[in-house]
Amino acid sequence: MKVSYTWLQEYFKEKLPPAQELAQLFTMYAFEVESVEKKDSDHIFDVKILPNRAHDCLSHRGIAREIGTLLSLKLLAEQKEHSHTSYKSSSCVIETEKKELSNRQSAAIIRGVSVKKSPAWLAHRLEALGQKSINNIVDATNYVMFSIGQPIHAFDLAHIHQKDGIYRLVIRDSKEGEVLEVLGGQECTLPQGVILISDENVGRDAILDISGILGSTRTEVTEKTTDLLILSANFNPVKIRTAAKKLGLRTEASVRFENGITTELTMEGLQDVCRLIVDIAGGNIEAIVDIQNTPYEERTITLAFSDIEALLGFSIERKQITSILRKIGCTVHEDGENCKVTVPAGRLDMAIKEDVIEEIGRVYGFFNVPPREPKMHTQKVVQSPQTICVESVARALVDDGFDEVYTYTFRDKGYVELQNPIARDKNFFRQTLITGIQESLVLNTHNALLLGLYDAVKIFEIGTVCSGEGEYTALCIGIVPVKKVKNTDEFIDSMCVEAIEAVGRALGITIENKKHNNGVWEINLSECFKRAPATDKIGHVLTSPTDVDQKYTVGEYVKYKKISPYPFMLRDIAIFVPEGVSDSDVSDLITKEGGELLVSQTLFNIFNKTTPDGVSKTSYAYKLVFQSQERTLSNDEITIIMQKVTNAMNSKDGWQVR
Amino acid sequence: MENTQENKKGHLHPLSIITKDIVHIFAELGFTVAHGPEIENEYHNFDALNIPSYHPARDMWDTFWLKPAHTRKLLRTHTSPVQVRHMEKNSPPIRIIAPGKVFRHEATDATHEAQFYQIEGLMVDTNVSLAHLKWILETFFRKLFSQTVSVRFRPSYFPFVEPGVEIDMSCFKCGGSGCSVCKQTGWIEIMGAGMVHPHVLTSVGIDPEIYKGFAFGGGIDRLVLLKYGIEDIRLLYSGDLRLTNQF
Repeated sequence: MKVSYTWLQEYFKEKLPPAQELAQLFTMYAFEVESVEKKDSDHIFDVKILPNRAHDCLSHRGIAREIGTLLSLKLLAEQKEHSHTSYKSSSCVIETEKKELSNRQSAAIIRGVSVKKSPAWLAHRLEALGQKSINNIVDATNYVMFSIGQPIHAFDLAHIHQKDGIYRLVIRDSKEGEVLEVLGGQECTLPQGVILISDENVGRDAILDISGILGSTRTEVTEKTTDLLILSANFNPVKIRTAAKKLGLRTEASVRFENGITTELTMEGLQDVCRLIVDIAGGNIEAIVDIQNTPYEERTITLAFSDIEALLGFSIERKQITSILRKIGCTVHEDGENCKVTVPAGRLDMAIKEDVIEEIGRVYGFFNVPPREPKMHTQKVVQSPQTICVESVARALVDDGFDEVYTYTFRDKGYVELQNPIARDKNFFRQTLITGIQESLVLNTHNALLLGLYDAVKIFEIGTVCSGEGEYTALCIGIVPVKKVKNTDEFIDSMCVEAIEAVGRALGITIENKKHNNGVWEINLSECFKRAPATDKIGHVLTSPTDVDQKYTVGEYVKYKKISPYPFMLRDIAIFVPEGVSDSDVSDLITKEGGELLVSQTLFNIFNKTTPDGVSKTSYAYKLVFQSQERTLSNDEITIIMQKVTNAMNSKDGWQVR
Repeated sequence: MENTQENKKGHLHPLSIITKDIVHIFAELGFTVAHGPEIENEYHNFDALNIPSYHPARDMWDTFWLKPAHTRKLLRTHTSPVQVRHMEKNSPPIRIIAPGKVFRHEATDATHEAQFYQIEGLMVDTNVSLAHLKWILETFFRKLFSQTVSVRFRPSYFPFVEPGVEIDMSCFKCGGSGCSVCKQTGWIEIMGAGMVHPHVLTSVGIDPEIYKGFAFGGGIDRLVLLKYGIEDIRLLYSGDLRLTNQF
């Protein structure tokens, strides 16, 4: 929600801290502030109001009260007396067909207003929050909504009919297919169960608005309007939410209603808006109606002081606890070890004792919670067999030279179909890992040499799939030869069988099914886990956790290098060196001379040779990969680098590039 | 001729590396792994977690729903249903973690994916508090990132916990002085957590007057991206060994 700093300041006599400081205060004690934007002489906060505080904080006064609590300041507006007289009028009747549609409705008739542009201060207020100024009447209702959180609607009374001197409105559920034209001119066909208001003197089809969501053009306030019906009601949150979703209409009003607001606001909102309208548009208040279908009941929550420490894990002085609760606006009665807390009307989020404890912890500062070590249990910790098995299988495959991939779950085929896929060809939950593995093989075969994979690309994935029998964990391996071999099938088959046997050994079972499709093999691992011997026999069960502090060390830190979008270039170099010269000597020289475009070097061949004259030499052969992060490399520049490497090698005593 | 390519080991994917780290660190703290299905029902994903269908908080989770619609099946939007499933079958004391894949119906970009991994944690016992949660998480992050990191709580809201907190970790890169990793704030928002809501405990038959619990949950992908400085979450699911083989 957008919140104006200048507006907030109006609630206080004292000068508020600067905007950035206030934002920091919100973040640490209340809500996240997404941004603070300077707008003319004002600052606009974009505050992320948490769903549990949407009851009382989707308004400037709600936020101001929060500031009051956190900075121990009293609000000026809170000192204002509100009239609690109940009003009845014989000239206007507003009935609810079913009690649950609206808990309370307060309404007023104002005659003789002049609808015009809003005064500058009002237009600025709304525009600062990103709202369009419409006219003085509509702006007044919106102003009160952003001020105290109560949505209010103004109807042009000229289009509501009077019979025997009485206006009769009914709040009712829509029937499917009812139609009205909403503000903005669109025609809207209603589903069943939307709260609406109709003009009973005309008939049930005379729909005046979609309650709590959007008004209709039928009673739209225009420049011709002189008389108004103002309605400030408390509509059923669930019904408003359901309707707004079905209609795809999310308005400032619907958001406030669907989160639920206190019934105590309707009359206050009505009085505020009437006062403002008379002030800026003239007119006389002719009638005020206030009907409560569900009377407001105070909520009192009892908790033991010891409950607070039990949940938060540290103690706060009683004096401080009661002081925090009073700052929030609660009435607190201490009763021995217990504390009776009556919560403010607007705080619908405070319903159980845990809610009260949260408020105490929050205002005290959650960042003050100290770390406390929990008591360790002495019995053995037995790890989940599935976790041990998956880890064991992955380790076996990695040891056998396989690289692991993760691919996407959403596919264009499967047993489980999505109602709302993100794309037309991603409408199923995968039934197999094979598709992902095949795509990955294609991608990685292109880069095999860059990756230093000269024999074969060997990959695997362990992941969830869903077949006709339901969901299970699958393992899929994929092999594509890179180097030219005499018998490809045999080459793949032997690698595949070796891998499958490694998986079997890792689980302590025999895997019968070794049938692979051209190097791609998949198995239901969940089935294998069931056959795996009791996990303690594999020897991975963890013992007592109390003394294992330093047992496990986390994976080594790796600085990830961004993948270059440009092609790589490959060069081979082979060299004879005198016996005793190590490969690292050669490798160091390559690194030094190769420069920053050299991204990898792989030693792929070593042999010793004794020449006829009795001199022993070692041959090292390297594959060098060149790639730039910024551009495509040219043949010529790599040739120059290779020449530099060759020259440096040949200049060493007894070294000779072959 | 000797071929040096033989006996060359392969590589684990960074998501697996971090998941393994998480599992082992928590095992040392007495937490074992619990599992749950990726295809969930509405009850376990929402209702049992104190998120009834009319609750505005449902908007916090954009959901993939499955056909046919009347079955009310979905792809789990978080790993929290595993908490419920575990508590339905087990009595306190409980210490579990649940790493697993979750799904959100949202547009993908460098920091958002429609599928990603989460880690869930749950501890239920007669004497469990927010202070214990802080110790457990601080111990965890120190082992995963660096001994110098600390954890702070900020107010937050999740319907299945009360109180609910946001977990910030002090920046492991700059130590809190401000850098590009922590967007110059010195802190990294990393998890959501809180004390298990009494309604959740009651719904699985655990008496909230006797037992209390804490729960936490966060993205594993985010931990991977942060720890290794990977710029795009989509790379994790690309099947590209130019990523895997750096690890």
